[in-house]
Amino acid sequence: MKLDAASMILELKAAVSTARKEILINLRYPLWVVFWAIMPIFWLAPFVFQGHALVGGRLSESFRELAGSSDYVTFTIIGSSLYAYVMSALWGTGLSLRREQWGGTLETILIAPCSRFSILFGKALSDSVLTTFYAAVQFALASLLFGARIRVENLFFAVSAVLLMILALYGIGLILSGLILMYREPGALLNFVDTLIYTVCPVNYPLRTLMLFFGGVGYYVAMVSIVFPLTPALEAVRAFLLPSFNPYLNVAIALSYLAAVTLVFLTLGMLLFSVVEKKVRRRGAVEAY
Amino acid sequence: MKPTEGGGALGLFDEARVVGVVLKKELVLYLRYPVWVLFDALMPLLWVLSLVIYGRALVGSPYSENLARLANTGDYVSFTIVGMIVSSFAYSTLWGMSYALRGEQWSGTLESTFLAPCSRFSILLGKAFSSMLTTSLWVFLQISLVSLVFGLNVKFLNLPFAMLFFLVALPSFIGIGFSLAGVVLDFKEHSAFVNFLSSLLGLLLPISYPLSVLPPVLRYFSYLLPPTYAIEGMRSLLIMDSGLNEVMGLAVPLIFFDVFWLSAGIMIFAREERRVLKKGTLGYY
Repeated sequence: MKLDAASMILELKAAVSTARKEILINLRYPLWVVFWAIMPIFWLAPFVFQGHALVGGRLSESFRELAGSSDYVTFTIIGSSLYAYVMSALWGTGLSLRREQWGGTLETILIAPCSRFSILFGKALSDSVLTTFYAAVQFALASLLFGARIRVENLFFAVSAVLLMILALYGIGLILSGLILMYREPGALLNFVDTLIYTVCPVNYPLRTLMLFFGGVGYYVAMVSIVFPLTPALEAVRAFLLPSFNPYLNVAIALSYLAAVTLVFLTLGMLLFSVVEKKVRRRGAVEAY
Repeated sequence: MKPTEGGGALGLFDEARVVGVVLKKELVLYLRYPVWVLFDALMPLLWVLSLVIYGRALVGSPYSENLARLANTGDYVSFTIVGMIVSSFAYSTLWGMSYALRGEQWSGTLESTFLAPCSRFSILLGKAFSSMLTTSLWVFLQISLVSLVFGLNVKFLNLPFAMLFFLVALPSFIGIGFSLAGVVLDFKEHSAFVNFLSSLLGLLLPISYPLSVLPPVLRYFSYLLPPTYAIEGMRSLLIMDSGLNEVMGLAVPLIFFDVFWLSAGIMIFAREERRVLKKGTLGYY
């Protein structure tokens, strides 16, 4: 990939065209669009109802001790809205090249006179645009149904943290794209990573709960959790939006860490993808189903 | 068993053998994908884990006073795990049977399977039983692990009654599976549909909360689902130490659902099958 201004503009155009194509294809399946916009509410609601069953209201004293805020409803609404980006990185970007393989169009795409990363970036960009729409609908619907109480004045800072997380997730998407191109059958791998992230990251419960629940081992589980960009992003976003939230990671540390993992995951993703692509081409297995 | 179009007139014993053979074939296929086997064995544990950790974050201990007031037990760990176990059988029927024929369509073997001189329902039952057998194995493994880690408070003496109660619920699960298999046979793309149903069940079934916390409208829908009664009944037997006579009130609607869903399932499947055969789209991808 050339680094002069003219080439960069052309690569950017390739990425935007890919993103447009992907969005267009997605909009051709309106049922799926409705599904992804509304279904996350069905996944969030059981947690709200479980909360009501266990504590009898929307405030929990134990939650306040662990997270500073006793409002577990807003806590989980923020968590599930951000989790949508993880699902998009896994099932969208991660699977994007596999879908081209299924459609028999991967070889054609790989011989296009542009960088592979522009194509992958375009696919990730379309996922981010669609996910932002889904997350916004989900947040609005959840707030309407369950009542989210956030500090609107900090929304700009929260969105900035989310943007940083999206970049880090692009890196994870690249890593998964490479692995799936190499090993083909992605279902089990994606399901495993998805469930692992959901369990160890503070989507529905504060990070300190891991220490309370697992005892001494909890600290190490929390360290595993912090490897995923979702954890520092959730800590930062909740610190900005959730009144009286007491993060496990200081906001400045969370943001610096997020910037660092963004760099690491993007570099690692690009390196891994380049190596895998060369290997797969040499084996002549680009289009092998 | 009455032969269907294209099927032969086999006796009940032969049809039972078909069920056994299909079950064996499905198990052999299942074991050919060890990564999926590992996934099925371990993932439900992580799903339960996230619900249990969430509970701990909310109440700070393994006991909830509020749940005790609502459901006669404050042990939310056992409460949730029994809910997850019963619902996992409902999910395995949903996914197993709707995927069963779609899988044959993907492999291009559906037409040959339908040409076999036996009832389609024997084939479907074989597929359903294989999916339930694997679910049972994993549930057993999960219960053992969970008991070891969290100390599950279940009245094991009531286990035979709980299994008996589950057998009462089983025909309704299978009937729903027949209906889904028929719908998927005609409409092909099943994942959106089944994903939607699974998500809906996750909300409506009393897996990690009692029905009383649901808004009234949702509660009425929940009462229309057979797994709701199965979860409530098995929970009463396994956690609250109820006797069989105390869960009879839940068994009666289940028997009604058994009759309703089995008849509806057979009718829907037969109708969809006729439609697909008439349209000539049986083997279409």
